Amino acid sequence: MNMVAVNNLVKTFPQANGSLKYAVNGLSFQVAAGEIYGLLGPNGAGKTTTLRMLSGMMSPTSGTALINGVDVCSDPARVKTQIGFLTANTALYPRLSPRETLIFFGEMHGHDRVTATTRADQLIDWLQMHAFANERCGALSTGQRQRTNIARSLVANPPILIMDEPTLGLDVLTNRIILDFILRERDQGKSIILSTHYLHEAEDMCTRIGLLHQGQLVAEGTLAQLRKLSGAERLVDVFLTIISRQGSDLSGMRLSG
Amino acid sequence: MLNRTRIFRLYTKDLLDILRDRRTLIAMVIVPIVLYPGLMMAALWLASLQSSQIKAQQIKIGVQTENIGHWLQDEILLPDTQREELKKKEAEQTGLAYDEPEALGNSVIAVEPLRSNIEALINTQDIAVGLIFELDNIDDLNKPHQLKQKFKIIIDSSRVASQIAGQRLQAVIRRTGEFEANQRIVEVGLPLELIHPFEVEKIDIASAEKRGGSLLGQIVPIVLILMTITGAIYPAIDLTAGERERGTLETLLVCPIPIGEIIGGKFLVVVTVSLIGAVLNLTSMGLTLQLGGIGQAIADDSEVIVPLTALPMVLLCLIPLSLMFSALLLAVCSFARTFKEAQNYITPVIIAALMPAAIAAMPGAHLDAVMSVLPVANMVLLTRELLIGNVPISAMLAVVLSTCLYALTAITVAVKIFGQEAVLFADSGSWRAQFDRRMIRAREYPTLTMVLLYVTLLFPIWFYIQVGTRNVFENPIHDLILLMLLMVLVFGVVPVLLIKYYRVNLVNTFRWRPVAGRYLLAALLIGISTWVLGREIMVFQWRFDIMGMKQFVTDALKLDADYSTLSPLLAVVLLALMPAICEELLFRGMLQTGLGQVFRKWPTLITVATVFAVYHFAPQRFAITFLLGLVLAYAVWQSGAIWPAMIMHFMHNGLSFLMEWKPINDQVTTWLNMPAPDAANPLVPYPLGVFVGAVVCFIGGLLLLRKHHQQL
Repeated sequence: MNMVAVNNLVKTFPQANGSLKYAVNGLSFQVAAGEIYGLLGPNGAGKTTTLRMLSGMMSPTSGTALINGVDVCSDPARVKTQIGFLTANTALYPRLSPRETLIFFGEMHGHDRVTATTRADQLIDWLQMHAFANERCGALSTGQRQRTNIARSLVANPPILIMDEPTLGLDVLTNRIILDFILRERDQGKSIILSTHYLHEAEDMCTRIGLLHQGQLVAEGTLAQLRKLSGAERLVDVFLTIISRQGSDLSGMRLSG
Repeated sequence: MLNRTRIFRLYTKDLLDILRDRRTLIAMVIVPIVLYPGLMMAALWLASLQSSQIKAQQIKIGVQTENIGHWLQDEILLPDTQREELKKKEAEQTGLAYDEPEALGNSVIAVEPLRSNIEALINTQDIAVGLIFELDNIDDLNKPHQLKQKFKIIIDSSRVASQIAGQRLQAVIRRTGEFEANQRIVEVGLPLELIHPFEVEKIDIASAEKRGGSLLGQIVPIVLILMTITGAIYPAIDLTAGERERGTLETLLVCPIPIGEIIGGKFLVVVTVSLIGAVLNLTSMGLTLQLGGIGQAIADDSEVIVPLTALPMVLLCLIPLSLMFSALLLAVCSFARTFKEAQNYITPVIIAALMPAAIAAMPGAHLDAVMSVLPVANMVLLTRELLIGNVPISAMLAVVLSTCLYALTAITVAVKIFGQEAVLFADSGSWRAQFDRRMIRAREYPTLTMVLLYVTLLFPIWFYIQVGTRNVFENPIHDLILLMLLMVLVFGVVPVLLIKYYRVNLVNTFRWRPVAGRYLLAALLIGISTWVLGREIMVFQWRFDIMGMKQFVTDALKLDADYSTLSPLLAVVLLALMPAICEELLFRGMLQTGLGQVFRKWPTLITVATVFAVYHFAPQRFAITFLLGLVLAYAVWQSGAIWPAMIMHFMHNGLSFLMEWKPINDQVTTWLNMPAPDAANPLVPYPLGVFVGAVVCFIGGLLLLRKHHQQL
């Protein structure tokens, strides 16, 4: 069964001059249980908007998205119980400690104080956060903060994870901890949507990859399929080939690996 | 539905977050506790320093001749102790009050023959004041035949120093003149009473506590209100724009919690912080005044007590103010994406808010009808009245209720703005485009925000319409016609146009739906009975004079007399038909539908009834209009249509008028064998049978309403 089923999703933003900007324009894809789906694309491709719609934070202009069977248009609140969401835009409260943060968000997901505390301790254990669990988040290093944030996105143990650049700016060690963690969650049968600019990471991690460009999916498939489609070997070249076929600018892209 | 436990958890989280911020603590705790007494002491010290400085300051006086200078020096400015002794003795003998001579200070005489030169020197501030005589020979002054002298004191009133010097000089000369006069009278052997025909003594009946209240009333309200507002500013910005800037807002939005709860938690935090600030301020201020002996210092010599007992009440009244400002600031800050942006938005709001406060702080302002609904101003005046200790309960109700209504509107506006995608996510287009009608999606029901915003804006407007249409014309009936036409406009026409503009379904909003016969029957039964019940309540209130009912009835009877010249048909149209249609459209139509979107049945009905009663601006009739409003709201809720309420409202108003209309009233009272009303007893209750009949009809109607309508 598809945990995520996106069908012809559209999001327009009204502009000050009265025109409409199509941030997402007729997007469709599916993600199965136990799958890591890589949603890749240059800046401004519509990734963030798509992920916000999938998380129930933003309502689509048209189209549907079913998250574990729940429609994001009709019941965004229940959608939020089904997903763990992590993006560069989800910062932590600098004046709360990681432990307080985890307990608070656990409670916000409907846990009582005891369950939330137990779950917080469990996550602190798994992500090796003991050393800094009681310090204020504002004083943590980037890696410690990202670990806290990942733990935060998992407090409710949701069946679907949406991770937007989870390893951005991290050192090798933390990078490893986090990627291992994501793989572990996948092995437990979770569906994961991973968006990253580190294409080597996408090569290693993703079951299937969707290339998003100007609000539309320009290619989709396993890495092997995409290689065949583009005739290129490395994902970077696959990416460049496919997008240049669309004849558009790549100015926003940041490539590495 | 809002989840209270979750709001509370959001509240504790935000409170913890904000209290861990050192800046909050400084603004909230340190400022009132340390700065207050310090500032007050410093201000007093400065004031006393200044006044002693003025006393010690050298005053330069310009005169035209050497002679005048000597005279001024010897006779006026430096009277020898001997002369003071003489004056004192004289005062004892004659029984006249002896004034301690006010020192003119250390004065210097400058001789300048030309008047124009003296003026020039005053201009350049070389001398403070000039003294000109209208005679050449100074010796003439002391001649008995020279009964009157003319002085001219020249000052520059735009300079404080010159003005004060002029006043002092004048006082000294006047006193010398009085002494001179007394001497002359005594010399010719006449009683002093001849020139002192009146003896005046001032008696102050204000208690020391009241005097203290009055003194405090001039400063405390405005400071307190300022402090309550400033206390709310920092948390309001930090919890909205600050969260957005730090990026924690999106983290919160990922959670399955409605925006309303997020704002609710933040709102409570802002209220808490501002109230803690207000309490600390009030306490600190009270202590400074009480212990620092400042009360005595500002109150000249009479005894003054700080009215500490009024302070808890003042604090209680600050709660609605804090609610209103917290909500307003949250609404304003919700637009902002950064801390800085929020600060820019807040500045004009604060200035706009302080304008009415400044009006209210003027000495002549008092808590009259207009002032009691003017936001902020009403709170300044209420605080002042509370400190002095005489506030009519109706005025207090008007202040508190209107402030609460403003607060409720501001909070729904805040929720609305905060929840806008364009505001939540910086990259999702222009939020201004949201006001474009082309962007408005058609809706089945009006939103709570839209409805509350209109109803709240209408509150002061309707109030000023009611006050403003009094005595416009000679004929009170013309006033009534004008009032009712305006009512049609603001209660009926504008709401309908507004709902249409925002593409909301008119039928759903105003409940123009077909209705089952049972509800019409219920409306007739209730409609025929409520006027009797309302009247009995009035009789009851009159008997015990609850809320000034006696005066109210007297006024109402006079108004009835005015209206009795009206044709009954026109009266029924004006007093029953038009209100029945317009008020139902607004209250049971728009307001009730909007409230029903968010609140459950009874909170909705009670709010509708309260607002309905408040909008009648007559605390004496509050109970009656509230109960009537409740029944009307219930009828609309149960039947799903507006018509039963319109019928009931029409019948209630129409019968209430017609049964008091003289031709009918006379017949009815004769028929029912009721005693004629007189001045001592203008309201005669109906016989028990009528009352019981009305109760039976009323209950019958309610029973018919118990069945909830089926969706057609």
